Amino acid sequence: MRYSFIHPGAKSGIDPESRILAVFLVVTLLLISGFSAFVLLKKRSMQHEIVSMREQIRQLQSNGARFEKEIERIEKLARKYETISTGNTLLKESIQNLFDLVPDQITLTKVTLDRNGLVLYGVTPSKEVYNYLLLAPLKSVFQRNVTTFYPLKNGWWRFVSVNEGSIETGSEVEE
Amino acid sequence: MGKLRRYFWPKTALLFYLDGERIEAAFGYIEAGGVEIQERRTIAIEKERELGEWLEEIRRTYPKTYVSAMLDTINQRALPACSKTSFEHFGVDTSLVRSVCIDESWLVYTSLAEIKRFEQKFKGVDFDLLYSPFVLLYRRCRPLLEARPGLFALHRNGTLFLAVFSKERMWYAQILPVANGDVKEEMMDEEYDGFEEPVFDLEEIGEDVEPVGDIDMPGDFKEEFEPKEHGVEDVSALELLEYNFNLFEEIKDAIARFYHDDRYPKEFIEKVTIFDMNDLSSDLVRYIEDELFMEASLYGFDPIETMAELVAEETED
Repeated sequence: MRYSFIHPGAKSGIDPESRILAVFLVVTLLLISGFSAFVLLKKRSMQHEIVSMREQIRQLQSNGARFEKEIERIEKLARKYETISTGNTLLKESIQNLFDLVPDQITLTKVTLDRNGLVLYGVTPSKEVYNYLLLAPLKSVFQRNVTTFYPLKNGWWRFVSVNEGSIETGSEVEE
Repeated sequence: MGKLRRYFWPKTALLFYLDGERIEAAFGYIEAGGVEIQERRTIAIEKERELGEWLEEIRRTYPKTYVSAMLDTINQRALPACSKTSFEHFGVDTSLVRSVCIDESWLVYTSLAEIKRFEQKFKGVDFDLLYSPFVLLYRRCRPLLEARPGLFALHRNGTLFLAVFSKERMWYAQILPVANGDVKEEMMDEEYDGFEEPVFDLEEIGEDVEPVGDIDMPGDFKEEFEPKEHGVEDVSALELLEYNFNLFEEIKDAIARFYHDDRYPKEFIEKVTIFDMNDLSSDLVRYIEDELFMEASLYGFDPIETMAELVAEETED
């Protein structure tokens, strides 16, 4: 029921100081809730990141194992290469040494070098030349030496020298 | 709960009214059914700025403070119906007035210019509620209303707000200025005239006249003044008597106008109830009972108490 000539306007129940305080509190609450929301979202995104990073770590670990195996294989290959290379070098040197052993009077027609030994084919003016100039050094290298001579029309000898084993076993010459 | 509410969300009211040359103001908490008055102040009208300062001080602590006042301007009336035709019937231009319909039965109105003037009189005070004395009178006399109409008057020094109410309706209302007694002025004039024409001639007495300080002791003066003071009291009593008589005459004329004004419905009045904001004597009641052969009664009236009830009702959430 109205009794007054005028109506009271809307009144704020808060004084200016309290209003400032209330605004401050509201702003603070908004900031806190905003920050909480940010932290919550960040946490969620980090959880996702952790899951994906775990997956990455698992993949990397599996890759690591694979790479280790590969490295092992490559190292093995490298060692093998080294062995072969050394063997080849040694073989090359051996061949070089072998050719250095052959005297000028003897002519080699074929040389077979394998794991078991050395087979020499050639022509010599005489058996003595062969025995003194070539067989002697061969004996110092191989354990077993078997040489077969075939006479030629011109008086020279074709020979096949099979050299096997170690130096201690001695040498054998066949006609 | 009420105390908690008052502590955290206080709703307060500053109520005041003009009483002659002073402002009677009160401040209190608005509670259910009224205002719990905390402080009352009487401020001289020339220091009305103090009221604004007090309000400012209150509003700093209690922002939700309602300012309510009794609008005691002369140009306000009450009409016995709320309809628009009622304004036309009494020749009132509705564009110039502000009205309030009370209990969907009668209305009270005042001119917009007077509201403005009243508001401008109290600079720095933002009014929330302005009550007509007729409304306050109605509120105060409501418990006394009967089926038959009675004359109810609200007296403030120099003005009489008069209305005829019954339980169902408002019959008649009028504001009557009451002339103050001028006995004192007349007596003062007589005293002044006496000084203009001295009763003895100083020149004739000549050198025999002694200085006043040599012959008169202060006690002698006191004795001489005593009858004069009695004279002032007599003047006051005479003034009051004359004022009561004038008031009686105004009431008598108002009743006569009510009976003879064709614009108002007619009904015989048997009771007169006067609510007084000042200090009327019971002589008035006696005059009415003896001269008008009506039942009369006189009550004290505090506008702040009545406004407190209305403010509590109007500011209910």
